[in-house]
Amino acid sequence: MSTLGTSVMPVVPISSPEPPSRPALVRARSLTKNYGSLAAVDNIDFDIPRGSIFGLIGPNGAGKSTTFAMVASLLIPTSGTVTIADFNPMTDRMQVRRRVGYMPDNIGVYGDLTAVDYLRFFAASYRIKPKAWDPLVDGLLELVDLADKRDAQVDSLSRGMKQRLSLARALVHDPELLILDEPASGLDPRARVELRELLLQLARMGKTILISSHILAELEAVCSDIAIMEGGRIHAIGAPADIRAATNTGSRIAVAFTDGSTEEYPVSDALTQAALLRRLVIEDPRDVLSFAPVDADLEGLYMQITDTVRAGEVETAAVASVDPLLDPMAGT
Amino acid sequence: MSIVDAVAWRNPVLHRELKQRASTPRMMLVITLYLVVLTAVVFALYQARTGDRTGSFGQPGVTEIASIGQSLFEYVLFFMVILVLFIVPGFTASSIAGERERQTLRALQVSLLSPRSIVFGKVGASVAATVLLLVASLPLLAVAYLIGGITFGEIFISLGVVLFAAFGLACITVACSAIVKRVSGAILLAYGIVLLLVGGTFVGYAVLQEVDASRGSDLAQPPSWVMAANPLAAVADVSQRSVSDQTDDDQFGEFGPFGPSFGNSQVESPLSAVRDLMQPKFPQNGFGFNDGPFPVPIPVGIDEFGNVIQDNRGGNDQGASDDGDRVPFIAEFFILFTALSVTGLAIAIWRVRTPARTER
Ligand SMILES: Nc1ncnc2c1ncn2[C@@H]1O[C@H](COP(=O)(O)OP(=O)(O)O)[C@@H](O)[C@H]1O
Ligand SMILES: [Mg+2]
Repeated sequence: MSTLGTSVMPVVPISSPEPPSRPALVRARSLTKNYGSLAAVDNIDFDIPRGSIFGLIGPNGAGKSTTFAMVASLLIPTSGTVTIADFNPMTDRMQVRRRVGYMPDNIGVYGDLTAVDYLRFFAASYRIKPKAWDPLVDGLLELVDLADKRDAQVDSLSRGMKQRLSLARALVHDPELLILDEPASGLDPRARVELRELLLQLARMGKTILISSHILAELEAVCSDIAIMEGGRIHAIGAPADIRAATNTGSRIAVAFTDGSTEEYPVSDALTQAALLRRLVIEDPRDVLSFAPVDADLEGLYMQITDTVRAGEVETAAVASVDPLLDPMAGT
Repeated sequence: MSIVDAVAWRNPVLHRELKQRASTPRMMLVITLYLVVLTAVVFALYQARTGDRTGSFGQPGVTEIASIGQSLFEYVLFFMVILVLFIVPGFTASSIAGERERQTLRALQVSLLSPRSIVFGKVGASVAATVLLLVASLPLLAVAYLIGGITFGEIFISLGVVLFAAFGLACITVACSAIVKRVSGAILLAYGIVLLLVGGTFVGYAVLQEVDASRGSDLAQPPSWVMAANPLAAVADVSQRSVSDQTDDDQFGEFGPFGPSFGNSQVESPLSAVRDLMQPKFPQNGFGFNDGPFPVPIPVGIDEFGNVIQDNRGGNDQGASDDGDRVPFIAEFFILFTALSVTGLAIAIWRVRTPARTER
């Protein structure tokens, strides 16, 4: 109990003046998206420096896709703003779309087209003149290593290849910002490694990349910046090393409260855990929003918590989600 | 820049849809099947009419031949309308909902294509596919033309109405496809609306007619706008113009919609049945009998020789002569269907436009 009141992770305050060497391409200010009473994205702020690979890490339902959809000019924020190169998607959506390549979480492709026709279609959709299509498309296929699949039906491609084709599609208009929503999910380890290499190559080409995953280890190696998101809020933001250091502190549990604060507690065993939970709920006036196991035996801990809640020992706690947020085994 | 590239650049959605339709064997199958059925019907009809005629009366007279041509014309037209009613929703219902289901819509929405181009591309592709089917059935109209009794102008106007109906239905269906998230739901909704526009208006009209007949002593004729959203009624109405001009020498030949009597020099077709349905009915109490339809000659206009044209069928055009300031039925159809089309397009565009409040 001695660590009560200690903040979980070092939070880099986004309002601090940016170093001039890292001007922001994307700025989110008090960005909020409500679905009815659910705050899918809850008053978040972040800056994405130009040329960075910015990873948004969080469990399912954290609000990552919703955040991305607002940046990509698909969703209207309930409140707050996001700008891309100082353009607001609400008022300058064409300017935003010229600068943003967006790859959604569920990539749909036109299976009946060939790879080359698929990319031509999107070249036309981005108002690129037919004369420029062939060199552009060939270059893109080369980049994503699909040159030999040029005339193959999209349906016949493997999942990893479809993913890369989708990435080529998002690059068709040479956007400054690439938004990739969980691009690694469903890929085999080899394809993940290839994807990581491709991301680094794109970063070298000067692209700014906004990418999401529910596994920290998956992106740690390639990201220059990482934000941890859960329950619609960003709990930590910083360099990967800092984030990792903050999470390697032993067997601990992070508790997020509805007032926005997050606190971390050491957990020795299930019994103290249950006692801790009751104490928190009864004694702490703030509502518990979610629990996030920070380390070791995550599943077991999760079961303990949810069982305690289900048994009715805790009345007001709301276990929003306790996913293996920081899975040390994943991606290795 | 080739024409194909030009289309692909101007509206990639239209280009992709056309290409996909052209490359699937399903389209050829639909065309072939449709033509086989239509040809069989036309052939059977021709056999029945000419066989009957020569058997009982010897060689058919000129007006009789004309009426055969007109009947064939109306049959082909009828099948075209039925085809449009069935195939346009089928062609269009998956347009937006299908992209949603396959998760491909968002990539289009974040591109530089306007929601208008997306919707117009979809509508354009299904109208184009429908036009192909209609063009494929032109030879059968040519047969009717060669037999006689109809003019190019009549064919032209009737086809125009069919095409307009196809366009309108495509616009209505694309709205369904943009509102309902699943293709199956969009198909159901679209066919539901078609059923309402065709079946619903017939039933509504019939009910109003009964109500009217049970009330007054004048002819029971509900307002024609009840039928103004019904493409079948519109086509029946335009094809009637030619038919009434040329067959007013046989005013007493009508024996109801369901008993075509080929012995008469009389145009019999499903479209004439539609006209019968819209014919004014005698009141149930006024004259003490209600076994209509008795022929009621009503002046409908003056022909090029200065004679008064009388029509024995009733139908909505008489509404115009009943109370002079009424617009013709076909104009009502055009106004209402244009309104429906524009509304459909607007809804579809609004549903595709992003950023949106919820992800669409
Ligand atoms: N269209 C929607 N309507 C209602 N709730 C939604 C909608 N989209 C997302 N949500 C909810 O918002 C929360 C965040 O979802 P999402 O952004 O997809 O999370 P993530 O991508 O991090 O898994 C989830 O609880 C989800 O159920
Ligand atoms: Mg997601």
